[in-house]
Formats: sequence, C-alpha cells, structure tokens
Amino acid sequence: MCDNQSDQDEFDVESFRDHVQGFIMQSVKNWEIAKDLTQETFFAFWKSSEAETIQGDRRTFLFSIACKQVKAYWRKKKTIPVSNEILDSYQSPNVEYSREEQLANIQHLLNLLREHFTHEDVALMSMKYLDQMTFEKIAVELNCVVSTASDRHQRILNQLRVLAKENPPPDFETGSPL
Amino acid sequence: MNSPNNKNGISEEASTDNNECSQIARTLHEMTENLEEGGPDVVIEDVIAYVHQVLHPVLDNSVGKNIVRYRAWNKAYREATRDRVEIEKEIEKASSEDEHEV
Repeated sequence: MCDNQSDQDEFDVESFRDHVQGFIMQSVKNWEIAKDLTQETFFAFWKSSEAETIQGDRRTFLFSIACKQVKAYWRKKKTIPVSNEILDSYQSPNVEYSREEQLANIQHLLNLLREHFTHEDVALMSMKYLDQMTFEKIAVELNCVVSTASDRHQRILNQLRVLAKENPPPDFETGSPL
Repeated sequence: MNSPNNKNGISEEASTDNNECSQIARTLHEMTENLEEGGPDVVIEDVIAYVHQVLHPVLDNSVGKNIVRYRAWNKAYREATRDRVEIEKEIEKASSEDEHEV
C-alpha cells in the first residue's frame, strides 16, 4: 500500500500531457477535440488513481485510457444522425455504367480488406498498391524485415482471394447493396 | 502444364491461385490509375472514422465510393491507415518501455 503510493508520487503524469494530446490528435485531427479528450483522459486517470485501481504500468494505462477516449469519440460520431445535406454532398456525378461497376468492385475489395484484416495489413496493402512503395520501404514503415513484409503481402493476397470467392461483388444489375 | 505437380511439388492449382492473386493485385492497382481529380471536399474526420470502421453505414458507403474514385479522398485514406499503425506503435512502445522499467 505504502509502496504503491510512493510509486504514484514518482510518476509525473503531467509530463505526458503533450504526448497524450499528440497521440489523440493523430486520430481526431482537431486540436480542440484533442484538448477535450486529453482532459477527459487525465480526469479518468486521476479518478482511477484515487480509487487505487492502478497497479504499475501507469504510462500504458494512461495511453490505454486515451485510446478508449478516441474510440468513444468515434463511436459517438456514429450515432450522429446523417442529414440529407451531408448525403447530397457525397453524391457522385453521373458516369458510364462500366466505370460504376469497376468502382463498385474495387470498393468491394477495399471493404473486404478493411473488415477481415488487421489495420497493419490494410496499411501494407495501401502502401503497396496505392502508394506503390517497394517492400524495402514498407518494411521500414512497419518496422519489420523485408521478407516478413513480402510474406505478409502474399498471405493477405491469398486470404483475400478466398474471401473474394466467398463474398462475390454485388450484383450491379439488380442494384443490391455493397 | 499437363502434370498435376511441377518439379517443386507445386500444383497447377497453386499456379492458378497465383494468377487469381495477381488479378486482385491488379484490381487494387487499378484504383490509383483511374483516380479522378476534383470531387467533393475531403472530410478528414469521416475518412478516419471509415478507417476505424465506426462511421454511419450510409456515410461509410459514400466515403468508400469517394476513396476509390477521387485522388484527394484516396490520399486522405492512405494517410489515415498509416496514422492508425503509428498510433498502435505508440501504445506498443509505451507498453514495452514500462515492461523494461518493471
């Protein structure tokens, strides 16, 4: 009990404030929101300290609270009703049917990737095919060796193939949803 | 081609699989080649929410359409996916540093 209290005194949580705010900012991309969520994070942290629920690893604990705050923020956004005005702004211009079909298929693949793979896998595929990066550069970004990046890429493609077979693209003519 | 396995023991089926993989790779590659300029202004928060899969389903579909169609949206999507990896790395780093300290 005394040791635990002594540990808490040594841990200068305020020194992590900028770090936590930067971390949250990476996700929400808005300084005001990041500030608010940082405040919420520290409030939750101190609240937990008072309740003596923290057992070591306080920095990890602090960041895990920040992560939860970010997730809660996005979850809240999900419940915001969508206005017709916003939806209208997303309407795509009229293009030829074949182009629409092509886009629908690409989007379908992208959705499969997003729904069935880890965010690192999605990032790898994004770097490989959208940024057209080499495996050497991807390995640096993902902090792994080149062969791991290459093997992982092949594994994703193989799994994606199976998934694409199990989940064929939407029937464009019948207009079924994506 | 007539034998079920080649000298390395790789079946024809595996070879076909590779072709199908290439097809998927080509499809993904197509995205960059066919991206258009312009389109609606990028709503970065929606793109990030799309990456985190927490966007309203109707908006999610619309954002996805913009990502595969417009260059600016696609660029924002790529940045958001890489940011997400950075965030996870940050947590992992903080976690491992704490483990070392303990």
